[in-house]
Amino acid sequence: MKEKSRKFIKLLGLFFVLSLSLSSSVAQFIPELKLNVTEYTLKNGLRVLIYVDSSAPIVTTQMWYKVGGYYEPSGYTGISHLLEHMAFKGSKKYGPGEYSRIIDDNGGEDNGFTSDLYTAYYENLAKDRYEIALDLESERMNNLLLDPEEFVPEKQVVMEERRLGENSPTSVLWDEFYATAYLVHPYRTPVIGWMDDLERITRDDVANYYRTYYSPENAVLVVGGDVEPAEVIKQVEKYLNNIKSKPVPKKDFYNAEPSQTGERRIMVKRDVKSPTLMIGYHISGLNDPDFYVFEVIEGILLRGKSSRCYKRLIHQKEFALNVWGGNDIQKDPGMFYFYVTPRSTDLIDSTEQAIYDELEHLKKDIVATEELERIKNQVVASNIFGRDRIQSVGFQLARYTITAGSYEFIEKYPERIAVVTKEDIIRVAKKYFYEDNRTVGILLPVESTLHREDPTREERK
Amino acid sequence: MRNWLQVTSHQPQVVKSLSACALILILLSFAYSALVEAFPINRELLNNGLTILTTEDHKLPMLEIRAVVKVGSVNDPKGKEGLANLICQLLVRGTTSRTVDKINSEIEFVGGELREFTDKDNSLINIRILTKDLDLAVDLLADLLQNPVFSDSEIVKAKKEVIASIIRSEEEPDEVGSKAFFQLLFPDHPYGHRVVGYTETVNSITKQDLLDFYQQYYAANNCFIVAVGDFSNNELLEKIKAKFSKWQNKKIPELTVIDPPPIAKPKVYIITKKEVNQAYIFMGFLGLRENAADLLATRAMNFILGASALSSRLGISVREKGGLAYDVGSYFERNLYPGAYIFETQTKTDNTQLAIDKILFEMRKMKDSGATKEELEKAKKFYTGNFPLTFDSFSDKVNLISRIERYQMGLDYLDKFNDRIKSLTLEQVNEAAKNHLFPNNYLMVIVGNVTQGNVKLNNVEWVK
Repeated sequence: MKEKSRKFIKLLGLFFVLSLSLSSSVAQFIPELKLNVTEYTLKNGLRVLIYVDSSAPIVTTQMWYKVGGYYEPSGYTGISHLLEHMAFKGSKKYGPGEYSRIIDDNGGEDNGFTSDLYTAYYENLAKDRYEIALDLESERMNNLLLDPEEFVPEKQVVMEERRLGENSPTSVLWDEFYATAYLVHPYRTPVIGWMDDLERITRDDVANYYRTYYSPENAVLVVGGDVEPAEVIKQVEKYLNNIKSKPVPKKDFYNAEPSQTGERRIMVKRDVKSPTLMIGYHISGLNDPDFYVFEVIEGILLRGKSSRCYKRLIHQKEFALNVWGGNDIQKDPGMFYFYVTPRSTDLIDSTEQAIYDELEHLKKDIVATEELERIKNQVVASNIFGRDRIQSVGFQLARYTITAGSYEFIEKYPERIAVVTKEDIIRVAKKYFYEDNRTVGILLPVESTLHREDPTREERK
Repeated sequence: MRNWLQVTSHQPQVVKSLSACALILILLSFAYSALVEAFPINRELLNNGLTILTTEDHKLPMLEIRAVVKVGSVNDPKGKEGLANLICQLLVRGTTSRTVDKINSEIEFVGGELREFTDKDNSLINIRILTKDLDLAVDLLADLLQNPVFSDSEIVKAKKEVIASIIRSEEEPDEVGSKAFFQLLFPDHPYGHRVVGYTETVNSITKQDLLDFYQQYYAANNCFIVAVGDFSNNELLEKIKAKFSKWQNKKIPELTVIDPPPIAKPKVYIITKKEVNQAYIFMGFLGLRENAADLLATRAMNFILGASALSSRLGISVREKGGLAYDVGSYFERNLYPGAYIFETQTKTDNTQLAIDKILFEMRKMKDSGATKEELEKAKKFYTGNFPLTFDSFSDKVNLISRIERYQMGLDYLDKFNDRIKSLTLEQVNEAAKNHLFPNNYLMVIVGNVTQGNVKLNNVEWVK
């Protein structure tokens, strides 16, 4: 799923003290797992998070900017991502091609990615070499060339990337689903941008955008791995302290999406053999307490083969080949969605109805204690598993600093999951999972037509 | 389930595994730095022939444990393509003492993760779990492997699921092209079909086929267990012995695989899809096996030629300077028998010929004139510097150990890697280019809104 750029990676690793309603056998593992983070802010406003994990002799260096699809003016969708591409095409000190050469020569891994709320760059290197990354990031923040001659082919590259998405039927469904579910909010546009906008954007547009948003006070730097915090601070100051801060236009206003007053339903027809069904409901954002209830609901409905939707749709009824989805973890109100691949077009209706039945079930019936305990155990375990890779921990630190205001969001997450009650689940299900708040998208083979007849009695139950 | 951080990533993953398995994902590079020591691997052989490889790693209270059975789609009988994969899927769907629901609820209740997977040479069951639940992991693994029931109802369900996924995979141009490429490159060869098989062949698999295949290949001496994590080697070994020592030792049928015939002149197959606005290009020929003597030299050569979409010769020509594609690259499979060496890119329809020309040009140039000394030095620096990054997680280590064991690379493989990289000579690398690149004897598959008229190639055989 390449272009699903708006989706955050799940809370993979959370490590913190957790007790409350967890079974004692689980809780005893938690206290040892405090995350070792030092936070520091440079005079120019750059926030630095230093994470120590000495289990491997490597360091990940990550620079995250608070800019992405969310900040793009109409007619300029995709400009953040285009700039991200250009950020590998040379700076004053390191010309075009040099970034890749330097990282290759040091056996490193680097990359960049863009989402709605951030644009990020990272370099993973052996621990004695992270200074190189700081140097490259300092250049990237302050001295990009954005060479007009490099811009021409790079824009073509991005347009090829866009075409790859257009050739994937499921990517098209995804884009159209979000463009339908949101009328106003920028979550409706794909991060890669619409092709027409890509055509229009000039080198100078990108340069202006760069000067506007790439500033120390608009960035978060993570240095994680086998490091000494004091030494890191010294190095960071050496490379980044001299960059002057400049005011960045704020776009913190709440993009109020008008509340939905009726189901929206779209169809996409492509050369496919079997259908795909997406169902989504507008929900709260991650700074709302209900957020955690949705996390638990996701566990009940969609997490693993013991989950209700998996059991019903795949195992018992054999309606679908695959089902996943859940809370899409957005800062502003996001979606709780289901992404299902029914086995055939004949089974779309039954599949859809089965999901609605599960949601009704959630509104009416108290969740079993054991089921709730499973979800909480899964949260703890997957948090520990997620701490395995230093790079992923770095991603989470920066991501939640930007979207939730602080990485402490991660630390508090399990406690907040632990206090979710059975009553909360019923309340939240009733509040959000209703027909008029729903968007349905269906990907169909070109030649098919949907017969919207009543499914058989048995299926409807 | 949300592993799609994927945010229009700037640098494509060039080394595409043919399947999702991380086993193959290590293809690219692990190397060695004088500063960094490889991790120790403890290897034990039980009386019944079961091999156990363990590495203690106490950084987190968890472990990853995997059983690998040395059987994959390469062992599928003709007409029953997809059999190895189907069996592996059924292993986690019921044993003599556990129903499929029990299996899933037991592992998921403690937050564990159970996954089964089949590739060309391997079938595996992998468990990630907290240390406190180690006993469950060992017990479950032993039960799944030794006591599967292959119930009729689960067979029917699993077959339906596999077939539906086969049908579905025919929707993405990438999958369509890759499937055709392998069928044409490996006619009458077990690497020619996809691991999942074909609709008809999966349909034709009977319960007896499953039982026979299981009886033939599932045995202690055809399996090894790899575990990395927070445990003591000895303790884990005892636990495994207790659960696995009664597993039978058998004579495993030997497989004879003959390399496909060389390609006499370029063969081109076009799959026209009008709604696709790019040409998906696959070019290639037979590559080499994982434990080939010149594997490392060939990897270094390919690193220079096409491993990275940004900094390799191909990447610079097609993407960085040409602006023709987001993704371009070359890689070769590293399996038990020589697999495919593939060059891939996707470009808008009008640029099809240009992209093909550039790829052929770079291939020829490398074959005829070789790499430069500087390029080889760069490759060496990359491999050595990258060494510690190649095993910084439990999964990386499990994957690495599995490869070392399966392809008999030797337990000292990691320790020697550094010296082997350093001692590579330009002659060896250029020899590898001569021996493994065939710009005049390739197979090419193109998927897109393309016809024979869009491609100007002389003296090629058009596959109908």
